[in-house]
Amino acid sequence: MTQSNKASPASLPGIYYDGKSSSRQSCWMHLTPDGYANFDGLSLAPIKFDEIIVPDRLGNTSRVLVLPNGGFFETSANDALDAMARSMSSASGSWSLHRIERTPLLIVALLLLAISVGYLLVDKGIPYASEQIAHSMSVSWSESLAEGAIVQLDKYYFAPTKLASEEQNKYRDLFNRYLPKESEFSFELLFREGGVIGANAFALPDGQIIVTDELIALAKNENEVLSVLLHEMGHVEHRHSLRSVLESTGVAALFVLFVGDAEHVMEWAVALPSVLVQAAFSRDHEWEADGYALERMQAHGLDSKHFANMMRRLTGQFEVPKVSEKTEPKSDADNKSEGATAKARDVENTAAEESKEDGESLFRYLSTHPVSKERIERFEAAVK
Amino acid sequence: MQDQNPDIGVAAEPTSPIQQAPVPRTERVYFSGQAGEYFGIWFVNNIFTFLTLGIYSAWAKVRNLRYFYGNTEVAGGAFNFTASPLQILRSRVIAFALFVIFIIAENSQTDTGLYIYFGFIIAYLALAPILTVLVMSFQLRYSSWRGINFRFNKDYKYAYRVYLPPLAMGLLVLGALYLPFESEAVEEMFGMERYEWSSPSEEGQSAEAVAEVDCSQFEGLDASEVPETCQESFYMNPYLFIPAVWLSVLFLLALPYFDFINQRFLARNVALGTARFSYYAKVDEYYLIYWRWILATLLLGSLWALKLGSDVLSSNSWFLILGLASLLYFPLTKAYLTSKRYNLLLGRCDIDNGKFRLQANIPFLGYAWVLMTNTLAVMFSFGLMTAWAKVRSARILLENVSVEVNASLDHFTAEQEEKQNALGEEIADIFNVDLAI
Repeated sequence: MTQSNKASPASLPGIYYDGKSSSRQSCWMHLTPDGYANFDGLSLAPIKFDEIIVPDRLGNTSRVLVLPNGGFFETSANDALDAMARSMSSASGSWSLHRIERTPLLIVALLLLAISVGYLLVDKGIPYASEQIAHSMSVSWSESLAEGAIVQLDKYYFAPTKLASEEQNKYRDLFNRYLPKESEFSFELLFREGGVIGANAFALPDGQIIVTDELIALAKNENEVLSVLLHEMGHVEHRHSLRSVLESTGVAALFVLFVGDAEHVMEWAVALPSVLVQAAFSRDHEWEADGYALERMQAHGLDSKHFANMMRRLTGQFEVPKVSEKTEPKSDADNKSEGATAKARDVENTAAEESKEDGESLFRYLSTHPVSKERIERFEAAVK
Repeated sequence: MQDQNPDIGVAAEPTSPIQQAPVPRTERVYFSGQAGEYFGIWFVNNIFTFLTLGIYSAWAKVRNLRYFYGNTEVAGGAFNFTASPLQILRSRVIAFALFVIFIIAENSQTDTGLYIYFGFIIAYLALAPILTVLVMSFQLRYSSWRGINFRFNKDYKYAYRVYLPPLAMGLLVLGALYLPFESEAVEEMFGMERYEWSSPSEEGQSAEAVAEVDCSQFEGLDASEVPETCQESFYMNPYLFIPAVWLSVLFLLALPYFDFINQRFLARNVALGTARFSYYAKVDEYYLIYWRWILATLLLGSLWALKLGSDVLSSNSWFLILGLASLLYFPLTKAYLTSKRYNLLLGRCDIDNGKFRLQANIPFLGYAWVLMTNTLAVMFSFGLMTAWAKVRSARILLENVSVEVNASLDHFTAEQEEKQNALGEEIADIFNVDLAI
């Protein structure tokens, strides 16, 4: 701004305050060759420049020099003051915070560095750390996440199953036969009527897996149901619920560090980036659970086409009469589903946008599930 | 005005003193912060804080405050923040240690952990008034203008008179909310009759029939796996919500008064050197502010009730209008309450028995616009526009403040005994972290 430092570097204009009263005395500070500061027109003895406290420069704010007599000298001739301080000190001088703060090239470089580090942290670091931490924590942490979830789900979403008990036993046997070996979790299969949720399956972090009657009605054979159950086991084995908690904590901490207090914005300004990032984490989890199901199916010599077919049915790409209207918006960001449903992992995104191909590209970033087409193709490719 | 008080850099005459400006006059507050310039400072603060795992945050805080203080100028003098980063660092270390203990206690399953956890909460609530005073004292003691420090008069006794009533009432509301969840115990204690949840006979029957079918299939399972309907139903007496509702209404009615005594307490105890501030706002002015806000809230709420509960506002355009109004409700609320309360707090302050009088006129809609655009900018830039947002907020809040000057501004004198209670300042220091959050 208006930097009036036409004067020689050995003198500065400013205002003197004696520190006892608020009266201003406009004056010049001169530096003598032997290192003493003289103040024009003031009855002050010369002051050794070394005894004056000169604050660091900060943008173009005026600086207040603290004098040993208790007085102050306020000046905005920043360049001249810096030149004077430099001429008085022998060693340091080139390095200063102010210099870093006002060098655009350096800022841009640091900015790029910060963006790449931030991207790496969010894309790799936080998911990796969460995975490591989640697997080093005891199973009881995952179990505590599921505490009370089924009660809440039953209260708000599910109705008791209408499936005949021999039918239930058939699927229980199947489920038990394909349980992962040497798992730390105790798995259990539960049947419920989905109601508004419709055809879907959920995994609770403690190993309870819920299948809706509608899903079983939709499936053409046992193996299709089994493929979904394996996907859900994948969520449990990979500890996705615990990892989500750790990941969202990490992202929130990272973002709050940057934005700071919320005085100048509405508090929810921090929400969008974390929703976007958390949706991405959720898509990765689905992909990983798919991978788990695929591996297990191949290991047992099952045809991976069954999962693809089941996905087709769930997204309505086969001409199958809809079992129920899927109207319940289910995403981890949905506040209403906090508590119970947020803890549950479902096999398919029930949001309506899935069926609309043109909307997919936009919703992709907000969706908690990968695009169904890609998931189907992955399983079909594995058949060949 | 500005031209009557030459800029610091442009010294009109080389010798003292500066010619006296006429009184009475009005001195505006100028804010000269620049978003571009501040971006570098803000950004380097954040990067270094990251790189040093938070240690640099003490320096960052000082540089931050120094930037905003130093760019705020009134009557030719800028404000100055004089606390040293090391002071702040030391206290942050202690505060962080306390915080870690608190978090550990919160997550520990042992009895000791529980005692420590509740000990912290009780101590925090009991000491909250003292902490408020200490935080104010710290902040003001290290703020100066024209070489004179601000002060905050540490009136602890009065702080309790101001902050204990809202605290006690808040705890009462929370306690009352808990009553219905312990319905049976409360009924027993007061000898009340059990509330019968009567339902039309056929509804009750069908529910029972369904329940019978349900429960048969959950036999032998853990209680946690049995749906709600099959467990012994949870009993709640709806009449027990009445105390909580009444207390909440009372609290809402008393809120403007609580706010009034809070702001009056804060304003009254400020001093610039030896010159005390006084506060002459009336409690009705607070009720007027809150009353309009409550009215707007009720209006929006009842329009929604009308829309959802009847056919009066059934058209889609009403849905759009109400949706938009609800979206704007929260930023407008924050902008309205902040700007009006700020105007009242600053605009009713006298300094040194009326020699100087502050005036504040933050425009409500202007501030709402700044707040909303800030929010969108910060959100869509993933936080990078934060520096710009902070500078804009500071500008609208500061540049609408002025001082009515009825006497010479040269006669503020410094308080004699500056270093009085180092221990108090230390504790205040610790909890200025909490103030920042």
